[in-house]
This record gives sequence, C-alpha cells and structure tokens, in this order.
Amino acid sequence: MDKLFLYFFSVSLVLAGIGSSASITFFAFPRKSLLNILKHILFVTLFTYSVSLILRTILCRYAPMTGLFESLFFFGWSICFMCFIVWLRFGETFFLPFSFPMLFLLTLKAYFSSWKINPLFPALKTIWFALHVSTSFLAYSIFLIGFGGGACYLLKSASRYSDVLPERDKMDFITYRASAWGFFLFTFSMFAGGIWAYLAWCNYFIWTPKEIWSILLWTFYAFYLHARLLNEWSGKRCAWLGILGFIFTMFTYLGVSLLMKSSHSL
Amino acid sequence: MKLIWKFFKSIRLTIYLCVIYIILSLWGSFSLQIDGDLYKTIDNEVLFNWLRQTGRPAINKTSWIFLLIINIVFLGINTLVCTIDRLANIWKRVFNRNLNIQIEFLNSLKFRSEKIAEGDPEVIKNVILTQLHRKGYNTITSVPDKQQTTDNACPRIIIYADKNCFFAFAEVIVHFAFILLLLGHLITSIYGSKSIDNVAWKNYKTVIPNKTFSVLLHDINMRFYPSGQPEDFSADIGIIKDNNEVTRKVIKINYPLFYDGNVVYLTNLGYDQSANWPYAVLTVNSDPGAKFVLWAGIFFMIGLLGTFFVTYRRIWIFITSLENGQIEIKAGAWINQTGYKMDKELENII
Repeated sequence: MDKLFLYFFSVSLVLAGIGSSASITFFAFPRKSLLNILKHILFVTLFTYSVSLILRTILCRYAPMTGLFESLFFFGWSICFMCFIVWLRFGETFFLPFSFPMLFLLTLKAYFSSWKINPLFPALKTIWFALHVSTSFLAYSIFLIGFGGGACYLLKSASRYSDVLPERDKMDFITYRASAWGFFLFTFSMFAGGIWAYLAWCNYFIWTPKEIWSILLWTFYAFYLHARLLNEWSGKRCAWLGILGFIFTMFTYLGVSLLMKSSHSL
Repeated sequence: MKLIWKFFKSIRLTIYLCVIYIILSLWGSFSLQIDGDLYKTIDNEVLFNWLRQTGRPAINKTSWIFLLIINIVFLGINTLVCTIDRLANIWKRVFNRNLNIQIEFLNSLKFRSEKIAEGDPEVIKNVILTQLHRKGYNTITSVPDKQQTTDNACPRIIIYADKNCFFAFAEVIVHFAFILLLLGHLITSIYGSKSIDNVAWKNYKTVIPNKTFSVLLHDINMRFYPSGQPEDFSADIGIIKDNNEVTRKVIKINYPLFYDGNVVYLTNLGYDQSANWPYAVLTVNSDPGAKFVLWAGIFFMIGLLGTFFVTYRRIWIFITSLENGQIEIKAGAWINQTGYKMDKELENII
C-alpha cells in the first residue's frame, strides 16, 4: 500500500510539473491548444491525486490533514478538485496556467517533507476538525482560481493574450463567483473551527496571529463582495482584489504558520 | 438625524470600515508577536476584564484592540442601519408586484431583449406564460384593453414574473446573523467568566472559585500509543451542589461537561509523584454569548446559501400591438447576482 501511494503521488508530482511547464509555455506562446492540453492534464492529475488521497486515508485511518506534508498534500488535491468543479460549471480553463505552477510548488514541497504517519492527537479526533480543515483548503483553492481569473482579466489587455482568453465579462463573472463560493466555504470553515475550538480548547476564539489573519482574510473577501455591489468597483479593480485576496490567503496559510509564533498549527 | 442615518446606511462606509479592520488586524498580528508577554493572559480571562486590568495600563501597545472594538461597533451599526433601510425595499419588491410601470423602467434594466412577432397577442402571451411557468416563475398579467400607457397609445399586455422571491431576504438573514454574532461576543466579553487551572484530586471535592458548585473527581483514564504519544485521556467527574451529586460524566478533550450555563473542560491529568495520587486539571467557563454565536453561525450559513447560490429573478415583459399589425415583445430582467446567463434566459423566454 505504501508503494502504491508513493507511485500515485509521484505520478501526481510529475503531472503537476508537466502542467507547470505547459503553463509557462502558455505565458510565452499563448495558444488555445495549450489550455486544452492543461485541461486534460488536470483530469489525469485529479485522478492520480484522488487515488493517493484514498490510499493515504486508508494508511493513516484518519482524514489526512494534519502536519505539513498532509496539509500541502490535501491543498494540492483541493486545487485539482476545485479547478475541475469550476470547469464543470463554467466550461472554462483560462485560470489553469496560474493553478498548475501553484499545484506543482505545493506538491514538490510536500514530496520533500516528512511523510511519516503520526498517531492522531486526541484533540483532532472529531468531525469538526475534518470539516474545518477540508473547507479551509477548498476555500483557499477557489481563491486561487479567483487569483487566476483576476490575473487573466488584466492580461487580456495585452494583445497577444486577447484572442486566447475568454471575454472580460465572463472572466470577471467567474472571478466573482469563485470569491463568493470561497467566502461561503471559508465562513463554514471558521464556523466549524469555532465549534471545534469551543469544545476542545475552551474558547471559540483565541487571540493568535492565525485567528486574526483568518478573520482578516474573511473581512477582505466580505469587503470584496460588498465592493462589487458598487458599480464603480468592478473590472480592473476587482481583478486586483482577486489577486490581493490570494496573497492574503497564502500568508494566512503558510506565512503566519512559518513566520509567526502561533498555537494554531498549519 | 437624517444625515446620521444616511451616513450609517452607506455601503461605502462598510467598505471603508472593512479596510480599517484589515489595517488594524495587521497591526494587531504584529503586536501579538512583538509584545507576546503582554498578551499571555488574554485567552485566560474575559476580554473586558483583560482590557481593564492589562490592556488599559499598556494602552500604547494595546490601542489596536480598542480601535478594533470601536471599528466593530461602527460596523455593527452600519450593518443594522443598512439592513433596516434595505429591508423596506426588499419587502416592497417581494410583496408589491407592480404592473403599473413605464417603458423607461424597462429600458433602464441591465438585461433586455426584444423581438417583433406576428399573430394574436393573447396567444403570444400564453406561450410566454407557459415558458415562464415551465422555468418555475410565478407570474401576474395585466388586462390588455385597460393598459393604455402614456408612452404608447397601442394596447399593451404587461407580464410580471419572479422566481425564488423569498430568497431576497437571504442577505437580511446574513446581516442579522452578523449582528447576532457581535451581540453574542459582546455578552461573553462582559458577562462571561473563566476559571483555569483548577486541580481536582481523585475522590476529593474541588471548589471552583465564584461558582455555586464543586467538582468531584471519581477517576481518570489515560491510554498511550506504542510511541508514547497520548491516544486518549478522560476524567470521570461529578458536579456537587448542596452535598448532592447533580450530574456525572466522563469528560475528555472535545467532550466537556455542560452544567447550568457552565462548561467543565479537561485540560490535563496525571499522577502526582510525591503523593502517588491521580489528579485532573479543569477549566470551568461560563459563556453566556456562545449560544448566540452558534445560532448566528447557523443563520449566517443559511443566509449565505440563499444569497450566493439561489438567484432571485424578476422579469417584466411588454407585449404591444403595433399599428402595422405586428406584435412587439420587449423584456427586461433584474437579478440579485451578476447574472451573466440572464440574457440567454430572456431570449429563450420570449
């Protein structure tokens, strides 16, 4: 089983690498065919990543979301899954050149982290923990799509990309929907986390940088969604907000955990 | 008064307050790093007690929390006023299905579609109504010969259709939940209590400060993985009031005991080496706002589902018999979201 997991996870890493190379090629030589290739790579990567996830769950007998390796691994799977869902819903793949490099970096970092299966700490043996973490990563992943949507919106003004990327209105709409879904998932994540913290840690809110940044991120997207209600906050401004939102997301996930002292782990 | 109301109902104010919140949070997260010792006890006390005893004397370092509270109060008022203001409009939109509208209104809508057809206007009306009903719309129709409008002397039928109209209240639920959340947190921050590090010895009653009950530890249980890491730990405790055991439960992490508005948590346990006797360390909190926060969370999720995942649509269709015998069909739609597919839906309907 260990070897099988290693096999599928390694294949996922290779596929993410190929996807990243195709993404970089797309930025240099934008072609619609490259987006089509990325779409097919996504399908295969989602398959291999999903098999790896199932195998890891069987191996460790809990939802694999604890520690650095598992959180990076689950984040990687979430990116594939949410990209697939957005493609299914809107039939668009323009955000993939931004998703694949991120997926590759996360998978690569996971690959070189410790894979050791640690016994589950008693506090983590609750459905609220699994719900809190899984919805967080799904939200982060869809914020990444919002980032890709925003960036593509801005790229559209460059003539070389104008024929390859979809209409601006469509990209704007998908970026907005991605942020709305992400906001919903992230709110649920905070709600589940609050219940878990209340039952396990005696408080539904504790004053640590991770919690403060989580609320900051939530407020940022609340601000973004309200800003869209005003007519003048659309188009380029919202595209920049989508980009900035993901920068906040990554700092909340990795920056706070790695650079700041916090009792809240990854 | 009107000026104050106008100030607080502004969505622009919401945006500015959110930006200020983000800036204050950034400041706060770095302050927590730089002055870590100052904030060591912040989670062990009720917020307002901590602010009085520790925060106020060190105001130069903790001013971000005070500013954050002021910012949240403003955000709460802004949400309340904005919600009340919008509620009247939403109510009118949902319950006043007005057919007395002019062509200018239709032309002002973002999504529009028009067509010229031939035939009987009544038949066209029925075809459109069938389409609308098939798509799940509720409809009302004006009587054609009475609908003589100022902008056009020709007979006109007006159809009004809406779908998921009660979901228009979803945003109100979200805002109500946010206010409830703030209220719950405020109640906890003022009236809550926290008692940490209560050491309970096996078979002894432990008096909890400022509480009308004590805790009796019956037994403890610890299990370890082969690696030595804890697998499970629990304490069998009873609540003693007036010398009677009123409730008993095996508590463990994630499974505290709830009694009379208080929550008893197991935070640690072990054997005292010198006395060779087991003990448990308990935290007893009273969190009167927690229920509000929980309900706020539930309402928030329901409201967000309605706001983001259900589209509330309103459609107006003018069927006008022109002097040359042709029928002009003009449709306009309003949707509560950026409705990129609404154009197609209008075209399908007419």
